[in-house]
Amino acid sequence: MDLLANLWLGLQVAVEPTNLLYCFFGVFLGTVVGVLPGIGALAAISLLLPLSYHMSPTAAIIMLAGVYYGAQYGGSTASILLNLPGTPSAAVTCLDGYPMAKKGKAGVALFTTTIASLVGAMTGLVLLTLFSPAIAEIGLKFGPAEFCAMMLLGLVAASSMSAGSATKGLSMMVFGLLLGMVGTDVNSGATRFSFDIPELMDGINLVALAMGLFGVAEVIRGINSADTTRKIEKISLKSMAPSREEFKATIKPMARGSVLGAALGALPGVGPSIASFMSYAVEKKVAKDPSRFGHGAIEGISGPEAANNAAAQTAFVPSLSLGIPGDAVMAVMLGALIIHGIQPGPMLITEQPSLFWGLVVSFAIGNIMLVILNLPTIGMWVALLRIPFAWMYPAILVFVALGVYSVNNNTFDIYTVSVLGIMGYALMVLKFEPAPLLLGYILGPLLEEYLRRALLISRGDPMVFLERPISATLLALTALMLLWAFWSTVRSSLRAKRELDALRPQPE
Amino acid sequence: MKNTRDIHDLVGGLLMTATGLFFALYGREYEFGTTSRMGPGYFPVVLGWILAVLGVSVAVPAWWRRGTKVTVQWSNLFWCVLSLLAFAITLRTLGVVVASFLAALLSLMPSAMGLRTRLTVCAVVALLTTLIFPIGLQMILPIWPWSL
Repeated sequence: MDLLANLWLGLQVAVEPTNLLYCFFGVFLGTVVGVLPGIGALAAISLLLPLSYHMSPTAAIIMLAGVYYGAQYGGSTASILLNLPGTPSAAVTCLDGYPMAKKGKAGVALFTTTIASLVGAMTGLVLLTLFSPAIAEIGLKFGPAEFCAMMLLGLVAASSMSAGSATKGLSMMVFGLLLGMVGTDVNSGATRFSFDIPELMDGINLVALAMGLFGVAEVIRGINSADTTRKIEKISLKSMAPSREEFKATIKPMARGSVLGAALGALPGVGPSIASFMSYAVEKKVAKDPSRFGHGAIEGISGPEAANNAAAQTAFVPSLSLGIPGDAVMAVMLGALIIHGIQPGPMLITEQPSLFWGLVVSFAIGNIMLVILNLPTIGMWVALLRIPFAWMYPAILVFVALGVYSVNNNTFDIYTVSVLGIMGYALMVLKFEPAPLLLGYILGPLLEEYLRRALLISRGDPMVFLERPISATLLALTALMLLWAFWSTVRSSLRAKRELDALRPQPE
Repeated sequence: MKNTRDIHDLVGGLLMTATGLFFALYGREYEFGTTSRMGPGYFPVVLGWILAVLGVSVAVPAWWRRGTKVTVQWSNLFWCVLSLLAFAITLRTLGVVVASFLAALLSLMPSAMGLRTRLTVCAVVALLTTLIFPIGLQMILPIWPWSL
């Protein structure tokens, strides 16, 4: 009955008025940024990071997590109404959600996605509650070699499975690891790559990096886009009620999506986006009439929406039980914990039970809040979509500048965010994914530390990684992934070259 | 259509190689150490070389691939960065209200908007910023130019 006692403890923490308030604020803001295309959860979380320094660690993480899973709910709204995904994981919802809206069934689609989101999130939550303590127990037996291998697997998985080419993702990740080296080296006390700038001795500011890469860069790109007149119909509560057949048709996909998403989300590198794509593919496979997909099939929205919300919850499993984030959002949240002096790792659940269980229960409360936020007040979110981006982005820029300033009360950080914003925009223009960079930046110092320790213990013998079964398995998986990435790059390059050769002989 | 190469990856890959080489070569200033006792230079140098190789492997295949032109929204970039810089410079000297109004005005330069809406948006930004940060969150900041 340990579990019940723990959940009771969590409930007590989660219903504290301040925590409830921050939970509500988090999911509310999450819905806002989820609804709005162009601003993602990462941008919002990095905007809130400086704010979270002034809160208790539990309240901070409850709020930041709320933004993350709240954005998964909001993401489908713009997908259905505008055919523009509000978040990357809602891109699949466009495929059948927008055709449904064109047929005048936007209300039903919005209702279905909200319910599917709730079912998915709750499934993920159950998995998170049951497995995190067990995985943490295994994690306690980990030595530096296992941590090293686990981090490598996470980094390689997150960067080689991201959108676009695997080599680009990997190079972003290594670049991030290198940026993490800036500042004072904990072992020797040497300051690295600081170029005698005193502010750089503490390293590159996490808030500045996250805001530069995601906040500033997204604003620069978004200024002239999507300013076209948006025509959105009004949604009434009545129009949201699905018919009996429609409701029946959503149950099975919802269940399949929830289980699939929950299982995939816990793996490092597999975020909500991949989970929703997989779920869509599965639904299309098992459907009696796959030709309906893409023309407003209700299964095509309920499955993926359940999957991405389930994945968003189980993404917390490796982060909270092992202290190893599976993607950039998780990395930023763990960064927030580190700033509060809490070291994420397998000891977290036993050392900070009120934080872990409070967070878990707050997920349940937050998800119920989200359903209430998303159903009766849907009109408000639809109205939000009518606001042009130009009315909002000046405020975003000013908040970025003041937010990053507030971390150290130093204008140097505003200059840093400008430079990193230019870098982030350059990466965006060149179609490099910035998320692996952020993950690498946060894991860099940890990876170096564990690598040093592992090799110090083994006296420089790299066989230590292969002699221990867990680390050997993890490294084998990493190697497989690298091989696959290499192979797919070579194959697609050869194909592209053949296409180019075929074009060349034509005379001018 | 003209036959352009995949400039994105070509430029990006070469930039990554340059960055990797920079870290690897500059990292030689720090003690390298041995595998059993890594110095502060070990990790950066090794990673720098890995990045350099990865950059090459991004750039080389791009030479044989067709691609689209690189489009940069220079004016958006310029005005947004200028707005951040102006905010940084004026925050301590002119106070939150003026700094945020000015930053918002500069950032709105690249967007097409009537003068009146433009000024309204800036005023709202200045008001919100003042309400949230120095008043709501009690950050110690000068609000007006004369309240230093």
